[in-house]
Amino acid sequence: MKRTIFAIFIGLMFGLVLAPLSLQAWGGGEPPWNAPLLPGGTTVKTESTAIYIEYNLPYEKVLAFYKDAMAKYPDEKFRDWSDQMYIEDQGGAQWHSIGIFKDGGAKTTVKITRDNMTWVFSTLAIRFAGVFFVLCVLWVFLNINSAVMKKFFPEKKKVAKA
Amino acid sequence: MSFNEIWDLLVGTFKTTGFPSLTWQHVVMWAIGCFFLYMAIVKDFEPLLLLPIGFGIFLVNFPNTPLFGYTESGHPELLQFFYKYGILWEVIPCLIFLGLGAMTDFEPMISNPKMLLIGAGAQLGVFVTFTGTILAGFTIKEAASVGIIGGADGPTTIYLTAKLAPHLLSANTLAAYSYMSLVPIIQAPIMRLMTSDKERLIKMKVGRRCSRTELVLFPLTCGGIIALMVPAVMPLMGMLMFGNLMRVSGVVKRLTDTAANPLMDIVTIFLGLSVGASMQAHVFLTYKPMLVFGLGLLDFVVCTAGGILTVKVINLMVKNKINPLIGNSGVSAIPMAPRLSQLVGQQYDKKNYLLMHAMAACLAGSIGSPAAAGMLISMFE
Repeated sequence: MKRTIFAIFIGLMFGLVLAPLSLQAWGGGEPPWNAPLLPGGTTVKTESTAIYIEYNLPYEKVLAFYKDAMAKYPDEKFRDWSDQMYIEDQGGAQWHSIGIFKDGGAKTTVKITRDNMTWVFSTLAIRFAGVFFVLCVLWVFLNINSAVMKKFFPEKKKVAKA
Repeated sequence: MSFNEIWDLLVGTFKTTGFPSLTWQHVVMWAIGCFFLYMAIVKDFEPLLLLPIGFGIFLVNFPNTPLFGYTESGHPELLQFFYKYGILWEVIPCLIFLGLGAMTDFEPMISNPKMLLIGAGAQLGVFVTFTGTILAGFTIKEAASVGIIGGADGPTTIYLTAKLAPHLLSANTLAAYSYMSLVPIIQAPIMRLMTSDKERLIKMKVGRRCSRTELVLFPLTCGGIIALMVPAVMPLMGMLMFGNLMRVSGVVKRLTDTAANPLMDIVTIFLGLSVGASMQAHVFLTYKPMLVFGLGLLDFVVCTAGGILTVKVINLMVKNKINPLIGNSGVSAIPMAPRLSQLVGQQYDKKNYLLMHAMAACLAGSIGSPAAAGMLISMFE
């Protein structure tokens, strides 16, 4: 009986975590998932979680449009990477990120991705492992510390009084 | 003076009172405030925190009171001042960690570093709940702040929430401290459910005594490693380690006593009042705080289960077995969780003393939950 309850509990736990995978509502919708869109672009590729749009404009002009567009979004984070300006949504928008690529010269490609559970799961798995890693490193250092202490500062045995 | 003039005067005076602006939401919040005061005063349930929180809720939910807004010249009013400079500026959580460091004896954990893994495993709920919270319609930042509730670490919850989702501060803080108080009710059934009779009877070796040098080196080693690996959480960990260094060095007894007692008490007063004051009707009476309470409970349950599962996994690899009943202490609810480990353990074997081992796991949790918070903060920086 107890094992059954335990199994149900674990099942519910996993169910909760895996439920979003089967939810079409989460991260659903149509491209570009309500992301701000600069007019005049050509869609070059569409995937289930991303759309690539090409503009006959230099990178600076596209970036200026998105900087203006993002002014009303309080939860957006701009990350200036070597190949692209990566704009990440940390709020409740349907889209997850907008990448404005830098190496196109007169043309600029914009990649818009939608929210997806893969990102959530992977980032959480990495971070949970990270907590273990941090504490494991601490564990190793504490063991080294203890070994050194025992070697150089051995415990003094109390001599029993006669 | 005509009757109309007198009437206008009376109406004008009436309008300066709180009565015309009174709403049913205010009354609901008074009831909530009084409920916390009742729990603190009559039931003696976490009075140090629930009394100031309850009174803060009660005070701030009267219309037109100059307590939690800004004056015309832009200065924060009294409770807004405490809230802004104490909590939003992340000062109070750090000072609480300073006090905790000055109170905490890390010796059980230093003498048995394996326990650090339990502290890491018990952070499982933080990450599992994150997913569930997003599913419930919260933003990623809100999900991170709700997720940390399961770590059962009040100051860390406040610190992370103030950084990522200040509008959820009151709900998250209240959930964190409520579940910490409910440790015996929430954790005991899970502990019994997830352990066998044989496992509950495991006796553990008493840890060795650590030298003073070892104790002094710990805050430096631990602080250094955390600073290198999770720099985002150093305001908390730095204060914890500084408080502990003062304690173990033994050369600044006056400072240690001040940090552990008067300073801790002062900070607790401002923390409680500020958190209570942030629970204004229009902020608190929405669906999100209610969801926070539900998700926080799930979080706490999963964190408890995570700690126990981690012990079971460790037992597959070590010769000297660990009693899984101390797994619940991987959350950092000091001293309730270790005390519960001891109580449940002694229900099955009167001569089994698990308290110090559980304390070690709990101390590991108090390092693990800031580490988890640091991981979450780094997602947004």
